[in-house]
Amino acid sequence: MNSLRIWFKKVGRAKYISHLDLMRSMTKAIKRSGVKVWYTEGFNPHAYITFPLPLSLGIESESECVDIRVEDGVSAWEVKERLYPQMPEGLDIISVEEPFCNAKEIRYGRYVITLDFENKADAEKFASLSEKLVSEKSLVCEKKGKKGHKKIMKEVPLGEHIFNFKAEAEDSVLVINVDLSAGNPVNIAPNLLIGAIEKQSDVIPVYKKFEKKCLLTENFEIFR
Amino acid sequence: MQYVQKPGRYTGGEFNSVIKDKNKVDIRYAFCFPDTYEIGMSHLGMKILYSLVNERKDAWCERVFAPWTDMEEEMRKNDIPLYALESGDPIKDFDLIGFTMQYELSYTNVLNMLDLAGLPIYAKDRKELAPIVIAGGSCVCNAEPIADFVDITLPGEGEEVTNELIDLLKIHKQKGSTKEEFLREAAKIEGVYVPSFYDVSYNDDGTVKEVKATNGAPEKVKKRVVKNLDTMFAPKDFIVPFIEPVHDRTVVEIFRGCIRGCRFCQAGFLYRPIREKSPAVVNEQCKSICENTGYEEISLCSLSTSDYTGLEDLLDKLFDWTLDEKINISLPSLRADNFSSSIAEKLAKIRKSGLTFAAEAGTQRLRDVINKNVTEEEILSSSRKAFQKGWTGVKLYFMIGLPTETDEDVKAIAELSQNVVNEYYKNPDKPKGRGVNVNISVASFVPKPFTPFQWEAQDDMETIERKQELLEASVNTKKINIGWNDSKMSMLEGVFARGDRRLSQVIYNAYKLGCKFDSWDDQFDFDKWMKAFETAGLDPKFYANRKRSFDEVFPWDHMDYGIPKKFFEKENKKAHEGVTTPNCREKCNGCSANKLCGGECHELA
Repeated sequence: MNSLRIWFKKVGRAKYISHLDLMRSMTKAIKRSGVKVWYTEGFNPHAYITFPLPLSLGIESESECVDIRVEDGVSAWEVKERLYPQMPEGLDIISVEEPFCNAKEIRYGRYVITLDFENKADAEKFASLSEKLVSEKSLVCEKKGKKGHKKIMKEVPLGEHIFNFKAEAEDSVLVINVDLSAGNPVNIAPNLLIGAIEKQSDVIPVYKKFEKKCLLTENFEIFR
Repeated sequence: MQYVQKPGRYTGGEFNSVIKDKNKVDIRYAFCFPDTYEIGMSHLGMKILYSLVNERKDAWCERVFAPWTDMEEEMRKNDIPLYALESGDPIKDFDLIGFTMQYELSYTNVLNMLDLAGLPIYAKDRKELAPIVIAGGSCVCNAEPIADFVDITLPGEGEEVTNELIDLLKIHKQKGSTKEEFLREAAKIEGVYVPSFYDVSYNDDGTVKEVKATNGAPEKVKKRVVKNLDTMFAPKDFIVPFIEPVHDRTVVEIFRGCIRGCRFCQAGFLYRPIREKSPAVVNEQCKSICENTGYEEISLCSLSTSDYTGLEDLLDKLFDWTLDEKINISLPSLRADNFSSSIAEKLAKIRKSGLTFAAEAGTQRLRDVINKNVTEEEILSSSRKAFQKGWTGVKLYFMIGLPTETDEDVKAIAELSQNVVNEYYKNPDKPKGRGVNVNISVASFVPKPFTPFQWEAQDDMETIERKQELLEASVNTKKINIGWNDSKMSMLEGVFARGDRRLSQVIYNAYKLGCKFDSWDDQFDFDKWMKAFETAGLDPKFYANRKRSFDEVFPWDHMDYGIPKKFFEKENKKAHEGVTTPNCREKCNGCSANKLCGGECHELA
């Protein structure tokens, strides 16, 4: 039994696939590929598949990963070759490697956020407001959480979770590069950040696009 | 799209979905399922016809589902017309729009989808050759309630007639024909019904007087059947949905038709004659679909799985490879009278799924009336076998509101269920500390066309509700759970099942009042429906709760499903005498359905 990490893109209309659905799609793609995966030995044997970090619905990603366990003798190269043609549109295999980092080492996610505004002035206004709010470390977002079994909305201060924030407006388009806390214990999706800024802004974007570039470990090194 | 529930319903792009160059095809076909994605994607007929049309180089079939109310709101707000999932193109520009009609309560969704597409709802208002709106599925054995909205219906099986219709439309499109020229030619194809070519007149009492064919259309429209299932087209793969459909598995048909002749069952008569697929062919089809989809469950589909003559042979063939592949097999529609130990043994090898037995009625007398040739002892012994093999629950199907039913029959449902519970506790090897669960699903009987009960009055809502309460009071253990059908929905189903063309107005009114997704409890609005009847000046009771005489002309009499009305009349009389009819393998009862395949009945040969 061998662990392998499959890296893939999640772009285009595939961004609307929820985490649970992605999991089922992956299971089926692996089944179709004929790769000999390791099955759990419980009452309901199933292929062992785990995602180091689930991606929120609606966010595109250049580097998603899923860990699988394969039977001895199955190479990373073989998995890539067999799995590639079995992936649905928008979910393209980039590489298959032996995991270098442990999923627990994930600390940050690196994102590019593209916001379209009505005009140049709005974009610049939003850019300067967001820079001010980020530097003041005063932003708060609302996040779904649990209290016992009850689902509640809880307020999460964003101040300590925003890093390397850079907002550049070009014409009516604002591009934001940012690293946000990811993994355990706090995971901040980029749409939460924009939502928090929008609450204090009198201009809001007409179109938003969120892309994840990569995951980072403690020292802002790339998670592999 | 970010703002709607389950955006995966509307994105497309699933594995095995077919993308073609629209400039290189002659016919674009929008296959519409008038309910949600999750329900439509579970439907086998759509999978078959999707693959069938897409095998052709000159045609492209795409899927369309009814958008849920939240998506509809977004679409209307942003002026997005109803589009096909594969290309995202508006379906109003397609050549064919096909609806599959599986249940009567989806009629308003058809109207809403046509409107969302930006098309006139009435067939007469769509003047161009394209798009032609067609409908198929079991409901179109009586398409009269939707006759004003669709251009064509396809009674019977669609595999062959779909291709013939596409061929014909292609020629007429090239010739630049008018819609009427095309429809005249289409009406000549066996298994094609053009409602606008039939004039219906009524008697003073509201019953149908006469249906006259015009424009050279046939007096009787014969349903289409595929003669040989082994050589029939069958899909090699299915689309693999991202979001989970209701039935998320490989489905392969093992036979069509049914030998049983239960008198309440429309499917048992509509899909005659019986035609089996050979085990080797089924096995190959299962293998290829599993390989191409990655599914880990196969469901063998038919009206009565245990009547398949090759079942044990097939299971052996399947187990040869499915056990290693960890693929599960489910056998729906098993009968209580021939659920053999050896099949139970074979099933015990794989993951346990639920077991369901259809008893249909509580007393032997009533089971004889409906010709459900199952005895209480058979139900109990099947349950016993299942409990001995380790099952801790079974599901039982019943109906209330059957012809000749008395309160004793209703109470007997509770007694029979209690006896099944008792069987569990008689088993010395029952698992320790685990109780038994007997789920009983109690549907309200709806008389349907092309059955021996097509003349019968449906119990009115008050009677059904009274019987439901009676049954509930007769069950006195928590080990039995009861599931009901909504009596209001059953009533509407009954109205439209045996309805005539005048009901088009009611469906239109209801749609205008905002009715849609009527089979969904949270969307169904009975008061609006009653208003729709009132405005149209029609009484639902006339359609649902009226007993017909044998000489009444039915709105669907010009449809020929291969079984003469006389046969049903004979069966109806036997029902009232409490006389059963043996199954087709014991004795031919002369339903003449086999003439559809051009022969005598081979079940007896």
